[in-house]
Amino acid sequence: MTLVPGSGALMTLSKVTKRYGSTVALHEVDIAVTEGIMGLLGENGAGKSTMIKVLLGLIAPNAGAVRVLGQDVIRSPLVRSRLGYMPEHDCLPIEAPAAEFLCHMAEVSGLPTSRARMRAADTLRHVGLFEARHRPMGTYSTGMKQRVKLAQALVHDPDIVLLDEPAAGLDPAGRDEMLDLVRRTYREFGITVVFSSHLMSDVERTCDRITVLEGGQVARSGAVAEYTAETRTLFIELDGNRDRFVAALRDRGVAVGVGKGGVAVQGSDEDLCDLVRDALVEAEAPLRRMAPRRRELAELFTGVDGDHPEPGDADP
Amino acid sequence: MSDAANPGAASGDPQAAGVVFDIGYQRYAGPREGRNRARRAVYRDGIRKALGLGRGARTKLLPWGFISLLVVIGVIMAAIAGAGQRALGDAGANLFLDASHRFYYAFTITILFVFAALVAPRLLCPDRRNGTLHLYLVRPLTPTDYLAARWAAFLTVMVLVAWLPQFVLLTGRVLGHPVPLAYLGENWRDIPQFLLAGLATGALVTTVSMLASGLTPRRGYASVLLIALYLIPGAVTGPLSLIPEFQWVAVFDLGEVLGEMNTLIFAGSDPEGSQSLLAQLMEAGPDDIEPTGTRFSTTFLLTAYLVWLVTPGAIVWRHYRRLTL
Repeated sequence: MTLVPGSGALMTLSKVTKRYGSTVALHEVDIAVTEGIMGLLGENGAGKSTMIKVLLGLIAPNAGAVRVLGQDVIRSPLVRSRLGYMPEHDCLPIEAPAAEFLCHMAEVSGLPTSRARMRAADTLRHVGLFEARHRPMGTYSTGMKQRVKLAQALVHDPDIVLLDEPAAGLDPAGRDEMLDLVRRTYREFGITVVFSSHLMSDVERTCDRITVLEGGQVARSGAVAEYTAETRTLFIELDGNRDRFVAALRDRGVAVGVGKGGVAVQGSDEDLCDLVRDALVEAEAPLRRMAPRRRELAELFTGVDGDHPEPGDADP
Repeated sequence: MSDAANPGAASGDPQAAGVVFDIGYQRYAGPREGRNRARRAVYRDGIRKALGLGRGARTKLLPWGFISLLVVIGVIMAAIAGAGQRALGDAGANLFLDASHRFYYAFTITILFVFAALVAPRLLCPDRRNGTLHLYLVRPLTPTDYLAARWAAFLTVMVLVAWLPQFVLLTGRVLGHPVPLAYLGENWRDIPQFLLAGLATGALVTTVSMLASGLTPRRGYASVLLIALYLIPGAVTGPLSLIPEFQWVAVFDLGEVLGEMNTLIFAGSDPEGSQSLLAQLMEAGPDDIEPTGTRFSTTFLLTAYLVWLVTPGAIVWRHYRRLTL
């Protein structure tokens, strides 16, 4: 696998600006995609799809440089044989069987016919469509179509795969299956994933790193673990007598946040734990669980500080 | 299955027992053949789409129905010529019907065009309508590669569809002649002529078909546009071109250009004995070519043909390069 020289990254955008007429879709964006699963998070119109198209070399930026696997993707279309792309919208010819379509897509990526046929069957097995591979894709459910879309992005064994809203339109079970496939794509298959979504929960469950786009600019970027690290807030779940417990804590001068799921108190040191123990005893409240609270990615957007309990902070 | 029926299972040998192992995802370490492989794959897929290969009977019905019709016309022409020949000698071959290769094209050009109007949109329109074009262009393939491969695929189909009945006609005429080898010896020039005429017709019809198919994602609209492009200019320019001063407007009529090109290519077989385009090219340079029974000078006609060939190609190429994905 070729890296972008000097950065150790597989893909880089350096000061990339893309305009559509007077609309600025991307403004001086700097991003480095390294091995792993990178989440591209942003609201609709934040510039996620434009960034993916720039990374794929489908559109040229007005300013800045794009390097993919050490090459200029606009001038060297051959580098795209090492990239996979799963679009958000429909892209499947409904009359064709999945096996034939994937074989064709593998050939278009440069694989010889016999290898393409084998890769198509293997890839369909990995996404769970082996049995249905000879059926026309028009007869597939939405979940099956999403899996074929992922399979066509993987069939030529790319080094990097770019997924644009891969779980869009799926029911909760289908969403879980798709996110599991995305995780396996990196952890089992070894293919780096750039995962675009507007749903924080999907990114939080799936990605190692995150880049948040707002108005065509990078608002935040870093490891998901950093954003979801343990806070200095203690989260307590009870089986009863919650009001008496909260009152007992307040009597002891502890700042308390109350939600449907439990109670959050600021601090995590030993003294606080003693106060909680005493309040539990006084209120005769049965304890179900007590643990430091983790941040949620949603706080990136709401600006809530995870170290300070808010009234709704203890909601699950 | 019992162990007696499956001794491998009893012996604990998994291979003999037919056990399937999941060896997990395997990275691909084989050859990657780049853009040429990609172009060939799109070309082959274009031919399969045009002819409905690998699809159900309904998809095959249209292209193979037209091909059958064209072949049947060739067979009928050969049969009538053969019957006349046998009954009345050489003079009888064309007594009931002009069974020449030139007349075959003149007679079937409209059928060929309708075939193109109905089949060519299959190569471009669904890829845009289904969004599959995105998947092509994120692979090592440029819009130019994609269009060129599709154009070449439909050109191949068109040329084969044009040539096949001509070979059937030739075979019929040879076999219908009392001395087949004598017929071949006297008429061998027909072969390069109908091959060239088929190629010229196929190239032009393919390019115009690609234009109409490239401008809309809907196959129906593309077919209507193509048929309109074939019929409407002729209705306007036909009467006008009867006036000697306005004869040149006939070059806006696609059917007229194709007809005149055939006249030029088959000129050597004219009753007047004018020299064919091939013969002229072989005996002289392109600059020395004289008018050969067409309404226009050879240079003017060839220029008009090239303009018809290049302009639609350039328009659709520019359109695809600017498509916003």
